Amino acid sequence: MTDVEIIARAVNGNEAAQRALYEAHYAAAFRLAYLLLQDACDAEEVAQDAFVYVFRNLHRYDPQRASFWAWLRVALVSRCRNKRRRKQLSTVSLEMLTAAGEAPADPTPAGDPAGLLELRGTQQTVWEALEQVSPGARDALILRYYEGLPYKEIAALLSCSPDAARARVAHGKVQLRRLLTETVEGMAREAGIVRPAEVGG
Amino acid sequence: MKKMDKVHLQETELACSDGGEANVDTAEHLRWCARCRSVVAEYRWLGEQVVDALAAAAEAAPVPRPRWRALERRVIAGRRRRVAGWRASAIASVALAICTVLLLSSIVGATVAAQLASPEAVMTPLSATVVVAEGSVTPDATPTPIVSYGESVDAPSTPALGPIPTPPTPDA
Repeated sequence: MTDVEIIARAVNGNEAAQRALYEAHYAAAFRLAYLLLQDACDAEEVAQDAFVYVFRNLHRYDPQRASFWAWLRVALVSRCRNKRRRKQLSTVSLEMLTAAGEAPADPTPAGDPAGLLELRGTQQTVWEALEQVSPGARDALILRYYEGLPYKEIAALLSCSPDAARARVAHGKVQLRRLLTETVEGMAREAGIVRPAEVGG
Repeated sequence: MKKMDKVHLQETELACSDGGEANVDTAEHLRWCARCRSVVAEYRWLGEQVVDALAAAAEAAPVPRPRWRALERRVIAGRRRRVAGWRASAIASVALAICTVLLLSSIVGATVAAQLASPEAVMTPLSATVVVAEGSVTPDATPTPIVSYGESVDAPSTPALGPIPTPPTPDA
């Protein structure tokens, strides 16, 4: 049974179809919410809220206009932004502040900063740096690089113009590059390595 | 563009140019500026790392079990609330309509009753008295009446004003 058939049945009140739709998209919805909010409890709550909205308004869904996931994503991103606004999350988490003071477990003996990053785990370092990027730019980066959306769709989700969405992605990347440069420099200092030149301009 | 050739491009412009989205001027600058090209390459590398980091974080996310029953309860409760809301508003609308009709009918009824109870309005002409001053009239002249309205009660019902007297001739 395709998504369209499941949705058609779900719209007609078929409980099994509704449940199948929910279970098919739940993990993806939770993951996106988790990336945007960086909190499992909040992500679960927001994902559930988005599904409640979607199922209450299933009769309004038009498969000709967008996929079910795209429709659900609109509700999800909107709720994530509202949730964050309500909680007034700080752009710098306490975890990061405390972790910043800790030395790496095993400083590399090599003199290569990229090697330092590898040793620590590039993905982990990038993820931690992403946590420090300003929320608007982070949302844009996640929608761009996780969801792979064009600027036009990012703009629609973030209620801004495509140019503004492009600028947010760019600013996010600039922030990220700066943060990673600082991280690498910090690690190099702790390892007693003097970098010959800065990574960035 | 000449100005741009002399200085390096802005970071945000370079950050946007990693996916082949550079405009003509930026592309021209990048063609000869090795430093900006290296920064763009760094941003391209960074973009790849972000893709990997986000995919890994999403994969590692502790996805809880879907709670269909809880969702169903909330959806059903929402529908019930909506139906109850519609019902309440419908009842309120009907009640309001009934109250309006009753109010209007009572107002109209009171007016009609008041009109029926009041005596018929009668239009009576005001009486008039004609006073003729003595000694101011020549024997042949017809006296000019002084007309005053509303003073005499037992005035005749005949028209109050008589014919206008003819003025006396100078020969008389």
